[in-house]
Formats: sequence, structure tokens, C-alpha cells
Amino acid sequence: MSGTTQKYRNFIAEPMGQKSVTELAGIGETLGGRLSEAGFDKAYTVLGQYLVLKKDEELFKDWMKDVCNASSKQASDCYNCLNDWCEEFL
Amino acid sequence: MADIDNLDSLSNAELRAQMIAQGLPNMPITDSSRKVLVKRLRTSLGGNAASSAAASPKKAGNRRETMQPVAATAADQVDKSDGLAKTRRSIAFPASDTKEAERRRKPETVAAPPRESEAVKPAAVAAKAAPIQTRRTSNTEHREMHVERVVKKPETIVEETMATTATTATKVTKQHKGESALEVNSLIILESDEEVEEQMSRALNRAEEQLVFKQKTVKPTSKLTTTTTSTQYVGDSLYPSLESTRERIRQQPLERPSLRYEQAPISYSQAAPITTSTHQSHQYISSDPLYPTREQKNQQPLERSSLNYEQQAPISHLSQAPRITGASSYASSGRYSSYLSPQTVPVKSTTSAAAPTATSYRRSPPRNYTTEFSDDTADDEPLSQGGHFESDFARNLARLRAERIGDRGNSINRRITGGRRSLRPEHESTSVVLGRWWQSLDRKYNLKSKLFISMVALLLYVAYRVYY
Repeated sequence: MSGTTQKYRNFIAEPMGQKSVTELAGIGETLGGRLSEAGFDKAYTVLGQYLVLKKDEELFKDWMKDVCNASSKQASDCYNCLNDWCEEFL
Repeated sequence: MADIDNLDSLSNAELRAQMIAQGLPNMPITDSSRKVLVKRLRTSLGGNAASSAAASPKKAGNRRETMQPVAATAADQVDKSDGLAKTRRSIAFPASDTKEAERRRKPETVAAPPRESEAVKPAAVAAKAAPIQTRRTSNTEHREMHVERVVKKPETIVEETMATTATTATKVTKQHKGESALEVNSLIILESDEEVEEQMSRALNRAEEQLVFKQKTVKPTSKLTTTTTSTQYVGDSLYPSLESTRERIRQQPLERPSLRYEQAPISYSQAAPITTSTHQSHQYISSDPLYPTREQKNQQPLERSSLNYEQQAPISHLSQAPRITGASSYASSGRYSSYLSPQTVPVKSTTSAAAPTATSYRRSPPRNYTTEFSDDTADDEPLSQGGHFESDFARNLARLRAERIGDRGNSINRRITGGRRSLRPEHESTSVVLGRWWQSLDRKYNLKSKLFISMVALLLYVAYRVYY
């Protein structure tokens, strides 16, 4: 990784609680809207999907691409964010 | 295939069973993850290109279209047995290159001939395939380039040597031309110190010759005053008299500057023997009969400086100064300066008793002359002010000659004292000294005002005594 973004650091710094899905790294307003339409309006729902896929990177990225048409970088950022959060708080 | 097509219609449990059967991890099948897991299962079940292409159309489609040309795909399947190199080579050729495709198909269709055809054609194909080969094997390319350079260099050298070994005279002239080019172009950076020294010495020689030439053309009478009285060298058959040589110099004023460049290296290379003995100097002169006046000019100072150094007034030496430095300019480089000093003794013994002064004088001018050249004044002065430079040089020379012989042991001291001495007048009159003494007293004790007051008081007193 070339570096971490402020959004990533903010998400990793504390429990996600009721944070919106748009507070995940790599997910902006556009992807957040698509995810919300698909039923994933909160960050913990995406975390649930991440856990359902058993933290499999490839499956999670494919899911991200399938659900919200995320790019490889966006899917990778979101996966890293959730993975690091899980290592920290789970 | 039927299982693959029916994956979407399978229930979550059946789908999970299929995944376990395929060796995939036991994942919970949900509505959100079903699509992804079906995709994974399809890829693991099918394994064929069609299903995988259908599963991920973006990946496969894009890469094939961009990387491989359309015509090459057909040829690529044929060339699978040829190996990786040939498939890569197909990238180099455009899709429209049907000849290459046909040529590469032949090995499959015909058994024996294709190798021959491949063996025959590489020369023609090499032109096209060369860029790729050279691009890949960069190391071999560098080696080839080095080989080419090595091959090319000898050719040029051979040509040069052929041209130079044709005649030694032309060789010498070529060298002189190159040297003269170096002399003319002062911006050329010389690699070794020896070359720098040689170039400096040649430049000194040239400048001295120019000075001598100017002085001879401008002030011919003053040179006649500085004639030598008696030397074995002057009485030689080649040079009957110095006056004749001067006349030649006067008669050939315009020819010499053009020939100066070519003559300078020769005179320099054989300069050392001149100081050792007069006989060697005669051999040197006879080797180059075309320009006898220049050699005479170079050799005359050896004798004249030893004879006339102490006897002449400084002003009269101004005209001879460049010539003397011309003779001693061979000692301007560090090598010859140390080389000349012990060997000049026998020459002086043959010439006159004033030789020691001449040796000390011979050593000194090159240093001054080099300083003259290295100074900013010499470089900053335009050519139109050549006379001014000569006068400076003459002034420095006269100042050096005015010094005592004992003071010349240390060149540094001589340089420093000479510079300071030039600022001070040597002989001051008593009035000037008294004036300075009076000024110093006045500055210290304010004598003028006191004297003025005392004089006024005295006058008042005298007036009082007169009237009363």
C-alpha cells in the first residue's frame, strides 16, 4: 500500500457502531447509494457480508463489484478497511 | 455441462453441497452471497474457456483483444507446439502479415521441409525480427555494439596511420596543424599535464616571438645597440653576423607570423640541446634551413643575455627583454626549468665572465613572463594595446634588473620586494625628508597653530616695544 487515507484511519480508530456505509474506505456517495439500495445501508451490514464470505478477499471483492459495480481499488480499499477493523476490534 | 447450466436453479443447500463436492470452502449461502458463490462454483466446475469467459467477460475479452491481433490468434493455436519464443514473435508482426503466418503454418503441414525453409528464411526474416531480439537481449546488443566499435576504431586508425606514414613530413605538418589548432582554440581542454605544459610553453614562445617581431619592426635601432661583442657561436659560418640576421628579419616581416605556428613545436622539442652546447645548436639549425632567422633569434639571447646584462641600462634592455625571455622560455615549464640550470654553465663559461648573472636572469624572466600571461591585465588588454603590455613588461624587467643579485635567491622574496619597491622612490631628497618630518611633527604636536600664535605674540611684543 502506498499509504492510508484519513477515511481509513478514522474508521479503524474506533468501533464502527452505527456508522454509515459511506464511512468505509473506498466507498463514496455513489457506491454508498448503490449499497443502500441493495440493503447494505450500514457499515456493519457490509461487515456481515464480509464475515459471511469468511473474510475471503477474492469473494468479497467479487461481491463488491457485483453489488455496487465497485472498481478493483475501491473493493480493495473496503476490504482492507474491514479486515484491519476486524483485526483491531473483533 | 448440464450441472453448470442448472446452477442458478439450485437451492442454497444444493448449491452448498455442490461447492463442498468441488472442494470449495463451506460458505453460508445467502441471497447476497449466492451470486458470487455460483460464479465461483461455475468456474471450478467448468474449467472451459467458454464458461469462464461468460463468468468474467471483462477480464478475458479485454486482454485478448488488446494483447493479441486477430489473425495471430489462429496462428497462435497452430504454433503451440513451437514453444513460447514463436508465440512471442507473432506479436512483432502485424495482423495483416499473412506471409509470416503461412510460413509458420508450413512446419505443421509439411514434416521435413519446414526446417529447411526456416533455416533459409531467417536472413530475410531477421530484418523484421531483429527489433524484438535486440529489445529482449539487451546484453547481447551491448556486446555487439562494443564489437562494432572495436572494429570501426581500427579502421579509422589505420586510415590515419596510412595517411601519416605516407610521408613523415606530412605527418609532422599534420601534427603541427593539430597543435596549432590547439593553440588557436584556447577552449580545448587538454588531458595531461604534459600537454598543458607544452601548450603553455608554445604559447609563451609565440608571444615572445610576436614581441620580438614587433620590437624588431618598430624599434630596429634600439636592437642594434644591444649587439654582442664576441662569441664562438656568432662567428659561425652559418651566421656570419648578427646584423645580417637582423636585416633578414627586417626584410621578412610579413612572412614570419604565418609560419610561426608550424615552427614553434620544432623549436621547442629541440630547445634543450641548445642550452647544453653550441655545437648542438648548430645541428639543430642546419636541420631546418628554411627559417634560419627564427633559430638565430632563439639562440642569440643565450649569448647576448650573458654579455650585456650588467652593462646595459634598464631602458636599453627593454628592447631585448622579449628575446631573452624567448631563449629562456623553454624553461618556463617545470621540467625544463630544473633541467636547464646545471647545463647552462658550460655555455656561459665559453661566452663571458658575466655568466652567473645571466643564469639568474634567465631563470627569472619566465616566471615573470608567465605571471604576465596569467595576470588579468594580459588577458583583458585588447590587441590594440599591445604596446602598453610591452611597456609593462619592460618596466618589470627593468625593475628586476635593478635588483641585487643576492636578492634573487628566493623568487618569492624578489617578487614581493620588487612589487613594493616599485611603489616607493628609492632616492629621496633631503628637502622631501625634512618636509615629511615636519608634517609628522605638525600632525603630532600641532606646531603650525602654536607657531602662528607665538609669531603673532612676538609681533605684538615687537610692536609694543617699538611704539612704547
